[in-house]
Amino acid sequence: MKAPLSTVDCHEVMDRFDSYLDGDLDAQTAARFEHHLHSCSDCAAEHAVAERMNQALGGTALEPCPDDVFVRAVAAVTTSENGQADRPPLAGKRLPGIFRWKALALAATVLVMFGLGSLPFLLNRADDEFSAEEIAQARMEVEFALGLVSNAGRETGVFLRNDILNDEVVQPIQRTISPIP
Amino acid sequence: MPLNSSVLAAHRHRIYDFSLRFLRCREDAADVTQEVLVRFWQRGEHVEAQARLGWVMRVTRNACLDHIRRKKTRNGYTSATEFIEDFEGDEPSPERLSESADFRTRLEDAIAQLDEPYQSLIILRELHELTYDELAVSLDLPPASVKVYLHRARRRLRSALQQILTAEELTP
Repeated sequence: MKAPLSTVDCHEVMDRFDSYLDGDLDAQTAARFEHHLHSCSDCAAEHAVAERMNQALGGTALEPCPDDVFVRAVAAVTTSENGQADRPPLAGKRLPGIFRWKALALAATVLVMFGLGSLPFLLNRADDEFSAEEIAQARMEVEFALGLVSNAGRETGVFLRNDILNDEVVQPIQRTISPIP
Repeated sequence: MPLNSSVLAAHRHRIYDFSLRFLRCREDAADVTQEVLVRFWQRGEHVEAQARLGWVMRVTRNACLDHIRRKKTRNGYTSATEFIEDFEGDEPSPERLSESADFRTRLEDAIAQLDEPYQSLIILRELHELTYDELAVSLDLPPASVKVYLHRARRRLRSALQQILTAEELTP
């Protein structure tokens, strides 16, 4: 079981096993390690597990983050930055409706112009002219824009509910309907 | 000035991958990833660029540990392992069932059974390939101790694998 080696024993092998696997040992010490592994079944078994483990771990790709998780994070960040995150739905100071519509229209216009402005550039280039980095960057920008659009959509919903339905419809109706005596 | 969105995007896969391996639940990993990305956006600018990876992985690990603690409190679990076992017992995915004999699946199971910080060390070093300095920042360990901890982590993992694998499975 235990190899009768004068130069390296099981204890030393276990202590410096990682260095051996990482190729950090000098050639002479590595050779002594290998000699020991051939003559000791315990250490050979440990080595077999390590080799198999490294082989499996080495080929493991990272699990990609789903796009919607990133988009939701960006939306949460932009909401938080605008001070909307902690605000109750019907409380706080809001821009007058007309300015909020203008802001949303401006955001939509910028996005459309950005898209249209990119068209000639995209049409004049063959697909294989884009590098992997360019594609990754474009993908990230689109996801970021989607996050902003998602945020704008939510804002619009809040605006429709608070300013249009509540202020312009519900409250006037409530004012005109007199309570039954 | 908050971080550039490309910096945020560049780290998202690492954050999600670590969370998924640590929590073993896609929904929980998505929640933690979103939480970490927001924190990264808000505070990452104060971290030097070369220390950013270690920092963000530390935030991710702490968020995962917090998530397990919250869930344990809510569901009455007494340990993270119990929580993981319970989760696996409730919802064995079709992939996990069909790949139950696969070496990689069993390796991932063995990694998941390691105690902390050994589990994090294995994930961050062997899969995410962090440097020793980055590991020290991620796990809040003295840089000089990282190698010792990593050595113990690998040894524990090998020992766990030797117990669960047959001789045939150990042959590549």
